[in-house]
Amino acid sequence: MKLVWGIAALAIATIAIASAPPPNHPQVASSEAESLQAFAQMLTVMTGPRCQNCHTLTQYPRQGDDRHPHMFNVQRGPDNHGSPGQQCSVCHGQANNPVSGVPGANEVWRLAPLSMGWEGLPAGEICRHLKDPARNGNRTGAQVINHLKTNLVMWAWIPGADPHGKARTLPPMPYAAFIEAAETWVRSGENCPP
Amino acid sequence: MRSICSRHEMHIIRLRLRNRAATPISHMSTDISQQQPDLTGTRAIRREFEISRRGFLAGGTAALLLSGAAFAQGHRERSVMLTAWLRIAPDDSVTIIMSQSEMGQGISTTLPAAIADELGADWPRVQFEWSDFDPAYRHPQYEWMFTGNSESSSTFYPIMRTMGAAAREVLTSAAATRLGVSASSLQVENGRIHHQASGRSLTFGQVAADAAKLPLPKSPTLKPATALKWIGKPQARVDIPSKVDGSAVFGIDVKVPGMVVAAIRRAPSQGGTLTHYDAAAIKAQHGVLAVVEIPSGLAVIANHYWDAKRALDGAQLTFVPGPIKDYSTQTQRAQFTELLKTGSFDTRKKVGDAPPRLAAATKVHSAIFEIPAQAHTTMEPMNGTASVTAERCELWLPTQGVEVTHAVAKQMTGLRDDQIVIHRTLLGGGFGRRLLADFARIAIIVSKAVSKPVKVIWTREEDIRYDAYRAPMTHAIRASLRADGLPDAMEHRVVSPSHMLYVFPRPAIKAQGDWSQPILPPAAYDGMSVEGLVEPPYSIPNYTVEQHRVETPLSVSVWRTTGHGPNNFALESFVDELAHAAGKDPLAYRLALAAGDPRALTVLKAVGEMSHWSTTPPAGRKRGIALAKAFNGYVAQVAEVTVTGKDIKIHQVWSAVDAGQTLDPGIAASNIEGGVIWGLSGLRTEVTFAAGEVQQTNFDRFDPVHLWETPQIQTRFIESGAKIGGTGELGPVPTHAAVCNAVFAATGERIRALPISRSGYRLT
Amino acid sequence: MTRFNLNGRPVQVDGDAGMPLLWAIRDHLGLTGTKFGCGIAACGACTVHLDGAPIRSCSFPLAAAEGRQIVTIEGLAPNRSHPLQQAWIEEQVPQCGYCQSGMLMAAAALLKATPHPSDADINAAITNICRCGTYARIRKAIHRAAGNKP
Repeated sequence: MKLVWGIAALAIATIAIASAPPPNHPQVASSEAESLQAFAQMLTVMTGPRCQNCHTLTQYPRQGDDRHPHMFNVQRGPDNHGSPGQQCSVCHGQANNPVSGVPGANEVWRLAPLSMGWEGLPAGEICRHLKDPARNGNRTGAQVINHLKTNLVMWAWIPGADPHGKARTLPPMPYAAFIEAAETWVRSGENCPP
Repeated sequence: MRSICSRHEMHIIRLRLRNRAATPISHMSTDISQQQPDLTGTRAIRREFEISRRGFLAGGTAALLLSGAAFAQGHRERSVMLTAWLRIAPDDSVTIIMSQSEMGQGISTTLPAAIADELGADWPRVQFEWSDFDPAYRHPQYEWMFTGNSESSSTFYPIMRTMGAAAREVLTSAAATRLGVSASSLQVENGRIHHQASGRSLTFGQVAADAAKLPLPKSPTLKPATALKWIGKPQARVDIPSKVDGSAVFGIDVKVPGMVVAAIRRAPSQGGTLTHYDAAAIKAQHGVLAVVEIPSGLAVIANHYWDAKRALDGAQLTFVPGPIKDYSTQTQRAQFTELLKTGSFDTRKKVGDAPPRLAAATKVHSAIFEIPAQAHTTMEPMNGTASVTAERCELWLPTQGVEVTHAVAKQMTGLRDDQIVIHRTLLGGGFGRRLLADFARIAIIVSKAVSKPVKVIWTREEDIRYDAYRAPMTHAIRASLRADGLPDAMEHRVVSPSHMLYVFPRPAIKAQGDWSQPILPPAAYDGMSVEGLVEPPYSIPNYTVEQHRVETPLSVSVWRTTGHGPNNFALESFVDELAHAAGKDPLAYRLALAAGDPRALTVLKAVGEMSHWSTTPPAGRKRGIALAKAFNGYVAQVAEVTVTGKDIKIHQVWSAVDAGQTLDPGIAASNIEGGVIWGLSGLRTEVTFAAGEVQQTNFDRFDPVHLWETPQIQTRFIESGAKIGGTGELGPVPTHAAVCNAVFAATGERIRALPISRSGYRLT
Repeated sequence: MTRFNLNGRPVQVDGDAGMPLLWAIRDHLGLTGTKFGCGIAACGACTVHLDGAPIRSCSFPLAAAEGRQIVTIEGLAPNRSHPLQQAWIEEQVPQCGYCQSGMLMAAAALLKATPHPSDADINAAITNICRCGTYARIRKAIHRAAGNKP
């Protein structure tokens, strides 16, 4: 963490920061504010249903914008892939299926492990999850960014339509902006709200 | 014509997907230890004679006895028909003709087993065919050929016994003549006629032709019950083997040579009109052969279903809504509630004089019950296959309504009776939906237009959008109590469309009507909306049942349990309220109310014993009870539940059933068990409408009960020896009230409007 | 052209890449034991095995079947000899029967993954819809086929 702060301190700030920096540490303060703002942007995506429906803290996934428990008694299962005989892949394929309306991605469809569940958590908690190797799949900041580039995460921006042809709602910012916010957050210190 | 006949024979043979030899089953229980008869490869009979030769004589069983003229099958094996129900071939094979459709209720086992038992056939080796339409197979009282209303067993079992006995007697006479002995010295068993004294015997095949020349006895002697081998005992169902290996043929599976396939799409609300589509653009799609307009929409025809479906999905179809465009459930509910006060009511039952006694009572208990419209959602969506030419209309259908389909086909094609052929397949669920002729009608339209055999497959969305729903109903019940707590006066008002809009007893219709429109039966025949109310198992000294028949633009018809199910929910919930008001135990209260009905008392006491009603349930569990008298039988049911917040967990459902005589205990049990699930599903499913469009178009929003929600189900049958009742629809009748009464016991809250989600409840 | 192995035999289907495998099986290859019930993967009537694992074939595009092993109800076992098929007959499970191909394929997948499933395992694995309500017998038959004590 100190290394990151050190690098940030040496970096030339290129983005204007809204809040005034505390008087004693002007660059750190602007990094912290920048970092917090970047995370706030990431949060708008991460608290949406496209992410939270699989980053659950329950023994089941959720579905839909109203986030109802997934129909058909679908369970998390021992490896987050569903119960024996009812793996996620029974229905979820390698791409969104326009015929059935079942979402899919070119990656094994599954829940995030419980350690990476965020539903209902306050902003600060989600943030701390994201940078804690014990709770983020043992990833560094850069590896977190790489994770955000996987097919399952990208799926949130190409979620397809439901069985009745109704398009699933997208996250509130474009994917590129989300990645940029994440990179900014990592680069500027991975600060978390309280 | 001959060459076409043999081609059709080939078509039918191709419906067999498997070797017909039954598999020896080594692990069977001891009751079912031998090779069993197997419906795999069953084909539809092809009538080669005109209807008039069957003749229809008035009255009872005798009407169905035919003179024994043999119908030689020409180029087929020289089989003979003995009665309308048995064909015997020279190779001794016995083919039993089935008049009733198989939709899971097991009738294709029980009725053939009855005739085989009485006849003395070699049951494990019999073969089966479904009949086409013929007056010989009509329900004798309704003069109509159909499968439904839980009447197949009660109506046709006595006929099976009589026909089996008549055939046995003429076979025996023929054998007696051949052997030069008296008929009384012969015994018939397992397809052979034995002369014990000399050790000689003849097979059915050897004497069938002679037997067919003899007049059938009008009153043959039936075997005593003790001599029956299969009836009364659980049989291995003849349709099950093909249902576990994928070889069973349902309507949607039919293949006939030269067949094309059609996908359809219609206006999202019934009765709408297709106003614009680009036929050329659709026909330009890969694989599309033709485009045909159908009522309210379009059919796209291709050699392969997916080509048709894909072209249709990609097409721009413009629809204009029809007369139903303003129909909404919200409005319907408000309208029905208003009609309780302002509607004109026909009195359907009057005992004593309830209104003045209610007016004079110091306390009147009252409740209003709301019951939703329901969709059938048979697992097999609607479909139909038709091949219509200038000379012949041939249909392959999973249908319950053979006669209405024949009538519709005749009206549409102008062909003679003998030019119309209906081949029946297995039905992937019926529940009353397949009594209608609409899926046949569309197939006929398309086949006529393209001059080819065509199979029309409906999507699930089309299936639900174009259902004929179980009608929504609103009930109002009022009652005053005597000093002992039992009701002194009760008035039950029902606001409901007719449930019989599309199905009706033939004597009600003087002249054949326009089969393209639903015919509202005369009020005198339209009893379904008040079923279970006008002949309750209870004695109420002053009792009135009134009905206001709503004219509805909604397409409504019969749904498993017909009027009994919704009416029982209202009545049995209300009786429970009265019991509670009187401070009485709900079982004891009903025993007192039903004191004059021994069959009701018996099932109530039995279910009380099964459920340990008199003991405290396990911690956190509460019980509810309901009684039903329906379909000529009785069922008392107890549900044991736990309610946590708004989550209802149903642990057990016990049913005590008196269906008179249980012809097959295994099949009857499966009907009741499955029926309980149907009843539970009905607590939470519904169809609702907004701007004339149904809001639940697939299983994501129409959510029947699943395996993980299934309680323990126990069923006991009481053999009262009364007239045979039906078990196909009996199980679900008391289920709504049994569960809701249990929920009351657990929460103190009465559920009076279904589905349960209307008061926030869920099944878990 | 999509080529795959169906019930032990190589087959090929000339069809739209996005066609549900269900229709390739039923319509192009003529095996009608696998059923159409909903088209949105909600009912399970279309369940087949893909490389040994269950899938709902109404929600699986033909192109994705290239080079794979597909087994349908017709290929589950010869002559109804699979323990589940035997158990289904012994317990007299089917009523109308339309859902049962999918039920059996789902149950077969369960038993492969969990040879002695508990009721909770069965609840989680068998989510297919049966309108006739044969669930209680399905549960019993799975236990029987698994050799579980009653």
